[in-house]
Amino acid sequence: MFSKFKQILSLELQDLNEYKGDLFIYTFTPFILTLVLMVVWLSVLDFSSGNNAEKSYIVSYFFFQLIVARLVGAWHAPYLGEKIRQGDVSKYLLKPASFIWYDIAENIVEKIWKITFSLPLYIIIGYFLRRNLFISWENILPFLVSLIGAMIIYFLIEHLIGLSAFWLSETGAIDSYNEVFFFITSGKLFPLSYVTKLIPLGVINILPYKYMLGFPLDVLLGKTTGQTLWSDFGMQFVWVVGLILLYKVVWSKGLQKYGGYGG
Amino acid sequence: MKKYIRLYYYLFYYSLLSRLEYRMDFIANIIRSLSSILVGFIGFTVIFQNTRYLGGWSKEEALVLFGIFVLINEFWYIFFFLNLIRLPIYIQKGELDGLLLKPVSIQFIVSFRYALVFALPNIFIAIFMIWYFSQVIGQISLMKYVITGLFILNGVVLLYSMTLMLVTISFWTVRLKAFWEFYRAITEGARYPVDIFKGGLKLFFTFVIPIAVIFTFPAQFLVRDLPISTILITFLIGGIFLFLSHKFFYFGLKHYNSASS
Repeated sequence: MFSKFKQILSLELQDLNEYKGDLFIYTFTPFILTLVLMVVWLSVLDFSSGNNAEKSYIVSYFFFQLIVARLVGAWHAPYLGEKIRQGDVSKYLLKPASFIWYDIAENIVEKIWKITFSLPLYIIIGYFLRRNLFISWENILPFLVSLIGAMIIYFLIEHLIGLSAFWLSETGAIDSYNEVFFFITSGKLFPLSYVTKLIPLGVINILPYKYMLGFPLDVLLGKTTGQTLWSDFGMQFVWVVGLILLYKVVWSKGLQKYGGYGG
Repeated sequence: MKKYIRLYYYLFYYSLLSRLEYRMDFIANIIRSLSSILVGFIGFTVIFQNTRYLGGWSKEEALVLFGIFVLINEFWYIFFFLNLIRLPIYIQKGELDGLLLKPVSIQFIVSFRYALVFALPNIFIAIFMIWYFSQVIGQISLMKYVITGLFILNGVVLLYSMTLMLVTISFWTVRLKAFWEFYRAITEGARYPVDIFKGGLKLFFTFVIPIAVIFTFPAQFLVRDLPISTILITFLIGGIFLFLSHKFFYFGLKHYNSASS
């Protein structure tokens, strides 16, 4: 299995060279959005009971969000939907590895590319913010585990949205709903500890989005420890298993529905 | 002038019709543009649950600004986005030839050919937001709303001029996706009061990329006040940019070599 996967990876890497220009842009613009959010939340602290620990938390939260969001991200739903609608799935069905592995390989290669090319920016921004940056070293192992969980959940949700093209001619609306929930309950726009006055913690804890971004970040920064750490891990695990099962069902049902028109 | 208004009416009507043909797609796209307002609104709600002032702006003031941000941005999307994004394609494929032959101004047809109709509901929401939250702040005279309207128009003109200049560069280079992503990222910061930025960043957003002039000043005028000199300078900048972009577009056009037969 692994040698096949390695082969797919190297093919994807060659593909990538073709649209380097686009990737270059997609690599750098998210920095602006996240840094603006950092400025916004720092200015919120200026007027409320902002203390230095809180300030460091905000700076570190958004700085590491730049990296973690890169690592967990997936964006292939529109392309996958297009492949299904165009009948390109047939092509993959004949290949030796299962369809999903091609998207996984592409995802990994693009992430490696983006991270590598962002490295200079991470270093420069990190240097400017160095006085306020911290991580919780004893949490590094749980962080890595939560990061892998986040990657799997993010990828599978994106993949499932793409697979909905088996039934729907237009997946944009689902994508938008997903995005709204993601922005609000994942910790993308604000650390989740700030949102609980609006949305009860119970709701955030049940939805998958927290486990895609906010949870790994708060583990890294030592905000999530002890009892909560374990219950969050439990919930993340439930989502990982649930989504894998859902994927299996949706994929096989989808294939039954799939007509496979075209060459 | 009358000819152009009539022509635009027809162009807009056909954009709407051609989109309505795919009903599900139409609805999905409207949901998509509504959701961006929803996320923005919730974002502000959460911010103001944690502070009373953002860069010196109260919640209502910031929401008036957000309404103005949405309004200017959506106007730009409705009228110009689909058109400006196509200019590099026209050039690349030599389609500009056909447009040059049409008996109207080439800048008009390049700028106004298609309309992005999905953003229309957002316009009404934005106007409602501006009206509602400015009423919460205090009684505001009709005159002030009218001048704010002019400010908003000026903002749309500025945004159009800046982006027209950006795409005009594609007469010399081919790829231009970079600028769109960059534009999107920059305006992302424009929904917040420019006062949250400090030092160099504030100067950057006021003078280099004038998001303060486009978005913050109109809101500031409506909910507080602006010195008369600032008002005049804002409109002057709008006029200058429009003139420069017009000149630059025709300068770029001179460099156009047809790519088709």
